[in-house]
Amino acid sequence: MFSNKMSLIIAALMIAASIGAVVAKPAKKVADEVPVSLEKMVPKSFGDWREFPTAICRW
Amino acid sequence: MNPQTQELLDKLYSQILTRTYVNSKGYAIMLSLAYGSDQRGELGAHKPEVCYPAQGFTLKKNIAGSLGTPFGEIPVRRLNGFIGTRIEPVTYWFTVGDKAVKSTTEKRIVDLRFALTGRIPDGMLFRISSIDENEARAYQLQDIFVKELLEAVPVADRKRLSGLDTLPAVK
Repeated sequence: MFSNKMSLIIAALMIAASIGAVVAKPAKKVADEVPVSLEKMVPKSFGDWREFPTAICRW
Repeated sequence: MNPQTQELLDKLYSQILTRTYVNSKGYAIMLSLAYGSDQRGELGAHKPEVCYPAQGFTLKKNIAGSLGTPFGEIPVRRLNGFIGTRIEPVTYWFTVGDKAVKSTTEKRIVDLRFALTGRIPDGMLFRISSIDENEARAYQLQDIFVKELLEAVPVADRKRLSGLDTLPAVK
């Protein structure tokens, strides 16, 4: 009986550890893989549009 | 802009780009991009429908829409609001990783997909607006603006900006 209970506990711990290994894996930022520059990404002129020098935006 | 709004933006987004564009007929469109290198957590703590009223705008429209481009559809939100006599229809969407997401649920699914691979997604708020009392015209020109922008940029940037990459398969 004891060994059955014990093995269940050990099994549960092992499962928890394997889940933990995935969840707690050090995270990498996608942003570090391919850095983004909004300034470069968006052309100042395209199609029928060109940048208007006086910005009237709020932010 | 008030200091709290600025503080919130600094925290959420690591880059902000604002530009005004005009076309050959003199129609102006304001572009605001906000990019964050870590987009885990709540979707759009800086949603335009929260931000606009905070700045004195009265919001009279807020609906889900779909913006058709040669590369596919972008799930967008269409807002319209006014401050005084200024009427300003807005179109915006959010991306997480390289996918445009339309709801918090969809965002959580994308978050989870990234979490399982141990990666933290970046994300972007893409917003355009024009001061125009003619809402239909405003949305039409905003759609053209987006199409022409996506056509002008390389595939990788198109994916980052809109979640769309190549031409859809011919049916």
